[in-house]
Amino acid sequence: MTAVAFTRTIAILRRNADKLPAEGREALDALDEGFSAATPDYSKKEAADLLEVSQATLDKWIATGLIPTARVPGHKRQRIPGKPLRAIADEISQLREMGRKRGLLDEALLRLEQEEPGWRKQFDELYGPAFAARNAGDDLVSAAPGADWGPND
Amino acid sequence: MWKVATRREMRPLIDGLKGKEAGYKQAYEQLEQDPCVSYRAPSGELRPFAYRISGRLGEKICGTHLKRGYRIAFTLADSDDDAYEGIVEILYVGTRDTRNRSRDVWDIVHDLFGEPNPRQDHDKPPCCENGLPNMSEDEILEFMNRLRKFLRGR
Repeated sequence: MTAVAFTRTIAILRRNADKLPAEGREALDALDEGFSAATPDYSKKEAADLLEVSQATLDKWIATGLIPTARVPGHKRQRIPGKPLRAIADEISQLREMGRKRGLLDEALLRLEQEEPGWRKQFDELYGPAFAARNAGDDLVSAAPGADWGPND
Repeated sequence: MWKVATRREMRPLIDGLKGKEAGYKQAYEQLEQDPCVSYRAPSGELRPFAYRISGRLGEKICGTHLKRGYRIAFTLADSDDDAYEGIVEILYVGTRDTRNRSRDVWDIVHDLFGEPNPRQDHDKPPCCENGLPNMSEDEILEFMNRLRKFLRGR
């Protein structure tokens, strides 16, 4: 199984972790920890696959400063740090399931910023200036309910 | 037909209504059709779908009820697109909770504007009765800036 496929599998298991028994959740934590340690970063091709965007789109996102990159010994090209990439990819995947097609990166980052307490400390360090600049003069976005909402939602 | 929109800061709050059975979809459709409509209640009384909130924010903001205690705060704006009568801009969605000030939708909205929330005179006049509510772009951006900080700090 490739790193991208493995990452996606873990993300799906994470989203359904509440349906697993306690032993299953522990096993998932151990698997996730082991995989994260073994995959601290991704190539740009892997990152684009994981985010389900073209490499051109990924390059644009990197240029805005909203996808962090790093120089890693042993690799000639820039690498994408694994932790933020996995979190962003998971949010974007959920937004796509809701039927969203535009502004995915900004919305994914907002959701991480507002809803994931574990991210707040790192957020400014990773994205602060670029993200604040991007949101200045914010445009209107649709307020439509998600395509996956229930009939009474 | 009205364009119903919001800002990026607000979108996660709307997404959070999924699964809550708050009736947002129905309210969204009504806002799209006409935020100024009134209904004939079973008592024969004419009731507005949306009403002006009380106090100084009344000139800027209207509210409407969802199910399960949720409320939508919104303002109206002109649209450059002739396809729309105007824009309904959703500013906040939350629950009414008069026992807990930090969770009450109207207290939160007033706090974000730095205005006191009057405890009386909640007579809920129709949203569009005497002109439309209106906010400048600067006021909206300032509100969203404060909302963003508020949501991060929750």
